[in-house]
Amino acid sequence: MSTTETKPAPPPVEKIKIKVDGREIEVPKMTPDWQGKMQPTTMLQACALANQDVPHYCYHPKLPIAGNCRMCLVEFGTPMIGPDRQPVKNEDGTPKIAKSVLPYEPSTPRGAIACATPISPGMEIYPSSPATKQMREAVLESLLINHPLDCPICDQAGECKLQEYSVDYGKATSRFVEEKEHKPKQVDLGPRIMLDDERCILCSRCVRFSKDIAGDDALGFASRGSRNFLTNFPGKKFDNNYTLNTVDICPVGALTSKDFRFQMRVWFLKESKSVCTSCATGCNIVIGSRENKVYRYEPRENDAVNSSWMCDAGRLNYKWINSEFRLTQIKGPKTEWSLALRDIAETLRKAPLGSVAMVASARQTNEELYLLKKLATKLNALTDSVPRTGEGDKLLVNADKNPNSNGAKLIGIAPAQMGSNLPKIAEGIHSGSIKTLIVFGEDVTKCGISADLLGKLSTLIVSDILPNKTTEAAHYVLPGCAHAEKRGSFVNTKGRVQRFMQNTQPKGNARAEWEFLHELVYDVTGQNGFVSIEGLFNQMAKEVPAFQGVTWAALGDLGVTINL
Amino acid sequence: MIVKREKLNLWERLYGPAIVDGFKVTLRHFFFGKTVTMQYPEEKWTVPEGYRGAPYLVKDPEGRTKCVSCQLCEFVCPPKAIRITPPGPVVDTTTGNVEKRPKEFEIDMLRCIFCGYCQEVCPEEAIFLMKDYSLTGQSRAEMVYDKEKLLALGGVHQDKIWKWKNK
Amino acid sequence: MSQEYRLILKNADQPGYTTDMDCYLRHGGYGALKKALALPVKDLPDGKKMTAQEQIREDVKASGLRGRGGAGFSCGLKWSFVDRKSGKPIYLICNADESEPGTFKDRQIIYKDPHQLVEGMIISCFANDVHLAYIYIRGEMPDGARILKKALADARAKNFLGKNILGSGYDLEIYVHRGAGAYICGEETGLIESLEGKRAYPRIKPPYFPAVLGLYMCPTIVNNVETLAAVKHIVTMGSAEYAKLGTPNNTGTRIVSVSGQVKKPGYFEVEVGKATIGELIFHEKFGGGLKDGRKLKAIIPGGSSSKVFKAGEKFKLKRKGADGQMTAVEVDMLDLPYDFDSLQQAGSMSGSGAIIVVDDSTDIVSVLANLSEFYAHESCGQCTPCREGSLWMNKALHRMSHGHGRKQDADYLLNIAQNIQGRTICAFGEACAWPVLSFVNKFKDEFVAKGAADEAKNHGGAGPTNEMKIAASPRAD
Repeated sequence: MSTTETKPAPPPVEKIKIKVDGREIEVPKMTPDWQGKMQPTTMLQACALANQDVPHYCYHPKLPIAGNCRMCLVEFGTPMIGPDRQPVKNEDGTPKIAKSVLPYEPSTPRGAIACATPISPGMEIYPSSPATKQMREAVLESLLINHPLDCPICDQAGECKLQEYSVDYGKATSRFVEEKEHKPKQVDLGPRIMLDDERCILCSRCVRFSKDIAGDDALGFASRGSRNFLTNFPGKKFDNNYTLNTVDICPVGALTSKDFRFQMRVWFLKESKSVCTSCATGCNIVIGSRENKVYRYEPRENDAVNSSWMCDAGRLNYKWINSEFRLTQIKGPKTEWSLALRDIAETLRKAPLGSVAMVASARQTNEELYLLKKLATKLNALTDSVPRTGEGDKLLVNADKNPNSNGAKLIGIAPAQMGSNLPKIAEGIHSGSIKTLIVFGEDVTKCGISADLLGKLSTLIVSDILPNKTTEAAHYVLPGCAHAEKRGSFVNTKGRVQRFMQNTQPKGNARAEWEFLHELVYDVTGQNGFVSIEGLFNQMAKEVPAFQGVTWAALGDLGVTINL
Repeated sequence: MIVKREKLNLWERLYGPAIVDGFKVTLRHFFFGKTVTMQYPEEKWTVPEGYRGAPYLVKDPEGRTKCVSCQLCEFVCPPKAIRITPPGPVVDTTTGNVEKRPKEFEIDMLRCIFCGYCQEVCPEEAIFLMKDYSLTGQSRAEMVYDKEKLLALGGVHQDKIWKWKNK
Repeated sequence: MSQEYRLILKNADQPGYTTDMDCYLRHGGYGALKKALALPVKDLPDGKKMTAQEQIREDVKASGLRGRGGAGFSCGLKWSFVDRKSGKPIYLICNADESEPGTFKDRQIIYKDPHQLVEGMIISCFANDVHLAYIYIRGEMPDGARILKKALADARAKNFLGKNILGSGYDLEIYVHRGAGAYICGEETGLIESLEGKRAYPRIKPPYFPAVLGLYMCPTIVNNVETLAAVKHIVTMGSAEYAKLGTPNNTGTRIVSVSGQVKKPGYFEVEVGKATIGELIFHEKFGGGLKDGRKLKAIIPGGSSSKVFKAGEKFKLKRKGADGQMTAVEVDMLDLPYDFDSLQQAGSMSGSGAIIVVDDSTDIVSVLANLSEFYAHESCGQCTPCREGSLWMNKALHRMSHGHGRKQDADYLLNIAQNIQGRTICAFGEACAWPVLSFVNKFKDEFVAKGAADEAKNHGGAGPTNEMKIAASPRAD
């Protein structure tokens, strides 16, 4: 087992016994906070362990606690301590519980905010008592009195906490007969964010995110009391590479993405778990599409990779999937898949050993690279991938812009120094020793193999999803799929193997690369393999040493870390 | 058990009276009655209030399309006859706080079953089942009514609430 | 006892007394500091030693001094909560953000006898091993800030401040910080946030108790001006002498601000509990009574956020008799001794020591509407119940006081207020809810009658109209 998942047994966890709605449970005394530091377990975390959801707006597990929405107020009690500093017992010997009440009005329960109040031994929490319910109703009513109630034109509708809790704790009619407060609307906060201050419930999640996570203290509140409104600091646009995360964490429709604004109602979106392909970090995402059109990426929580965040650049890098220029048909002597593949296989089988070279892409999945590697081994082909670098940052963006550089290296398609074989391939074509070139997902004219050189080849087989100079020069163009249209796995910069799921259907006559590669490999090498992605991955895991012991099923939604 | 058939008497055995009796109603209507048959389609039926005919879009008295493209009707439509294209991120500054209206709104009248869910679900009172019950066209494409057509057919709704005035 | 006992304000209003250092020194100034710094280490019977600092802290505790800012919490106890083992520096902040409506006592000390505050602060800092302290003075009192800055400069020149104070080896620096112009800046943790340069949003407790995680996340003591000035007198007189002033558990003197519809509004320093509310309002040495021909309607006993007393109200007080038995005595509102405990037993509080008198010429709905406007304007807006509730109540009251009330508005207001108290981050929730709760409960007939009259006059009881809504829109700024 080469995975690093096995760790030494953790030290025994100190537990506290408390009661949640009368049911006794044991919860750890300490729980990691938003930074991962151990802090006393809060009532909210304890209730979650007892499968009791405590409604909340301002609390977010990955942000510092603010405690300002008051939605998570719960009624609670602690063991009564007598004047002798000993616990007071009931007649049946159980500890007597003193419910928390207002000191000046002992008949009224006094709630505590579950998000910030630590638990203590013997504490009793009543998350579904009438008093708790009343507190939630009162808070919700307060939040709604100045809310514009414009759900029909609000992009958050369908995933809005205000809507959700209104169903649970709201009233059908309002007793608020006064004039609502009016605040700025359609505020242009920055290049990617629109703000509607009337919808804002002032939970400060976005403020805390910008300050404490993104490190760009650009947002704040102005004015006072009910007239408070969110705004950016004068003269400073809200423009960092993480701004769109505030749209995700905004529990209401105050912050909306200019990109997704009024594009599609969220309840129409088909969502599937995927991985961002814009850099080697491999942020976990959810792709939302409708009728085969991708509308948005949203980050998906994975503490080993991206916490709950992703960068704006990665998030907005999806439009090429919907491009009208996508390759949808096979180009070449044969235009039907089975015939074309048989034709290509024949060409390859006839090619003398060593006369074939291969440029794969580090944006391809492990499974595809593995199949290409099989082909390359059989043909004794020189292989490489194209390195792609850019600027990185401290938070999530990696300088390596290929999502699967590590996969390409581990499988052996790319040399340790990615791109070092490319000049050799160019040289081979120039000298005529290389007659056949297979290119997957790259425009090789941009990396030293010019269109003139490509003209010297007797066979150029290219698979790509968008047209470029290489596809123009190709004898065979096999239309492939974007990651949203197929399944597969990547290895990120830290060695995390992560799988992603299919969301949309391939465009036109395109096919997922691993599907037709599997057929091609069979035709060329005669080796049969698995026809499912699961089987293919598991076979690869057996044969490629770095993946030893990993299975497709074990990857789960969050992936597995392997040694690089 | 055997049921004994009664013998008919003379009056009953005569065919003439029975025939006359049988034609009485018909003849009364033929000579004296009001005509109830309609010369459809030259003549059209007067539709009662509350009739659920074809759904059309309406404008408010200021001439603004009431629909805000919330797509609830599209969601609720049982035969999936409605298809809305949202406006996209371009900010429409001419309509104040009503930031949104459909770029395109299509109802496939061949699919529509006149159930009225769209009218019921509409939070804006922008779509109403009107009194048209007989829609014809020469092609399938012609039966897909677009926004302009729906608005023209729907006319103006005398809105009493003016919801967006105070938003 | 119907006369003032001037301890803190002893010199303040004397002819010729100025804020100068020389004048203060002529009147025995900084004697207490010298005494405190020179306190010898005391040997305890059990062989342990007690440092000068511990002795002062013990003295303050023994004196029974209770905070003069509003809550009336024991000062000695507050000091004992300070986390002294964290290794972090301890800060002391003087809360001079006096902005409770009806209160004008701290500014008397600052304007007229600033060195007394400075001396009290230096002693308190010395007692708590504080080397850096701040005076957070209300932004609207620029004169006070100027006077205090001069006083601090003078003290520095005389080596009462700075490095190695009077050769004792003790270093202390005090800075004056002008407030950010909001009522909430006077809230302990809001003040700390404001001092840190942030928006004065009060902190959640737990975990941010100032005694542990205060200014810059270090242990911090926040005391009122009057409290710190009293520390000086405790050191001068000794705790036993000080404790003889006032009544048991309500020791010392306190400055009471009397305002409203009385003949002679002003501030009066009295022994705590030795004067009744009635005396403070009616006695010629204090408030001097109501204007001619007027009758008392209500009083607000401890600053605008305390619960109102209705004229003629009676309370059952528990009194300890001579035999040590607790007996219940019925007392009229005016006969309540003006101390912490009696007012608390009567369901209100002495708060910041401000009595506001309302006579029968005043419409009670308008009084409450006025108060609620203050709270709606001053709510910081951090947490939901207070943010939304304060303005909601204000809008309803504004509407009522402008002739658009409804019969159900009394219950409507009570319900809104009940949804605020006890559910907020700081005590502002109570501060804005209590006036409404107490006014509407105690004068419910007036509120209902006004609502009914408005309904009859307007629409025969129809629902809210546009005029009502417009009337319910108080100033937006």
